[in-house]
Amino acid sequence: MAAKKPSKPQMPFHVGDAIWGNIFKNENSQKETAIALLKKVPLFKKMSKSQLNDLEKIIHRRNYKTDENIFFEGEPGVGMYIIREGSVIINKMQDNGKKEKLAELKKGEFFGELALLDESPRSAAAEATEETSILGLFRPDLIELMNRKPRLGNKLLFELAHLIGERLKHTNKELEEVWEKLDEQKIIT
Amino acid sequence: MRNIILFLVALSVIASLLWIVPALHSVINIVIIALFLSLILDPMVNFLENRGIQRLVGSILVFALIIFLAVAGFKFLAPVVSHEIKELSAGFNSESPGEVMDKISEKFGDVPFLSNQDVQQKIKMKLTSILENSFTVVFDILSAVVSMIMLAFITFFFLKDGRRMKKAIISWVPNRYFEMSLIIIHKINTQLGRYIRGQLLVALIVGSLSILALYLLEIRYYFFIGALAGLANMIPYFGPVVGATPAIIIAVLDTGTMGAIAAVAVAFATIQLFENVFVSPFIVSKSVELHPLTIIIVILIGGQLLGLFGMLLAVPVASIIKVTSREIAWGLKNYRIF
Repeated sequence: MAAKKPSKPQMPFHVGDAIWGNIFKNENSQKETAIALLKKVPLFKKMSKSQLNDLEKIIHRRNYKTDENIFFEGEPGVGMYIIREGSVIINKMQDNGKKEKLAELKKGEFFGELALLDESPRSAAAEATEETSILGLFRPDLIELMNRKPRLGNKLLFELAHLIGERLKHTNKELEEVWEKLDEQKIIT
Repeated sequence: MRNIILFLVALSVIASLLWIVPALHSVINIVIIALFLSLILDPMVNFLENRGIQRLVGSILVFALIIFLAVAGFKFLAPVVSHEIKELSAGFNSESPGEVMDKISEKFGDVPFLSNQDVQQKIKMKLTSILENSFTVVFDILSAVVSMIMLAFITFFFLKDGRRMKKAIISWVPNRYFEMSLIIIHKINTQLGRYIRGQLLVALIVGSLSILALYLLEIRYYFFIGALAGLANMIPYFGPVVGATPAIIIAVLDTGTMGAIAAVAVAFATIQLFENVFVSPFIVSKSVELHPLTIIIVILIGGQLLGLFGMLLAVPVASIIKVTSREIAWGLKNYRIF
């Protein structure tokens, strides 16, 4: 019969251990959630684990209240946002002063990625429709990351170019359809 | 009621700052110098990180390199510097300030605003006060060593964790000002980093060339005077004159010929020409340029406040203020804060 394994002596409970343990646990879980979310974004899906780790280090976490603006139309663009929790509407101001809703985005979706490339003014505003938590990736941090880790920077820019190319194709297709419809109408009239 | 509470809170914050800042001025100075040093060394650590070396290892390597250069520099330069100090002190002992002034007056006539007695009296007063304070000198040296160690530690952590610190500070900024703060900090950081590194590189080039030129011309104290010329070069317009004057004085005292003065003047003029045509345009950032009138006014203010050291700091400080205020104004306008 195997000897009974002696039980470990019970250590007295330290409040400090619990506090630090919880802080690091919280930090690690936040990091893992952020990496899991980044992995789902088309822009980052081809990134390796260590590259996602590097990206996570430059990502900012922000929380917004219901109806709080994330950015306004016309402001210089600084970077892109990925929704972690909550929802965001993208709206554009009309000539008559009314807001036109362009899109409603939910958890895991992203917006503002063109601002990673230049400082041109935002073409629309973004507003949280409920308590929303988002991750932000910004151009200054990206430029600095590209200087330090050019391979990662190149990969990211390539994916961004690919994404923009896809959108351009989609826009061209829609434009062609509109032209066709216009042509048809011309023929009918 | 809320406004009164806010006003009282703001007042107590300002009062505590006014009380704390002077009390902690030496710590604040060290932190500011460490920030500048980390700004200068950051590209070196980034370069190593770019080559696949971890930031911690990169920071240690850069620090090791700096310590190695300092030790090697000390080892190679110590004989030259100690020789120059010995010569300098022997020169002071053999010739009284009065005799030096006499020599200069003999060759060039009376120097306006400076009488022989004035100089002697001023130097005597200075020497007496130095002797009186000799005990405090020991403590000053000790505290300087402690400050150097603290400076090294703080610079190292700024280098290693600077980005994390910046991110942590930005996380406290309210949402409305977040994007604006991020872009402003980035712009200021980039422009000032480039400007400070550029200025130091130009000073290093001019200093090295001046040391070489003075060595070839066999001017005494060539190392001290050359290094001073490099540093003084950071003062626009006045710098080259400040740098060349000690060399010309030594040339006069040693040879007393116009040929030696002309040789030193030509050497400094050539270095200036080289710096203005080939060095500065490629190194110093144009975005921080100040108007010539502004430069002259800030140099005069710096000189009035802190003497030569103030003149040296005037243009960099004015440039920092210019870049910071310009970027903040840009941010406030474009983000429609006001």
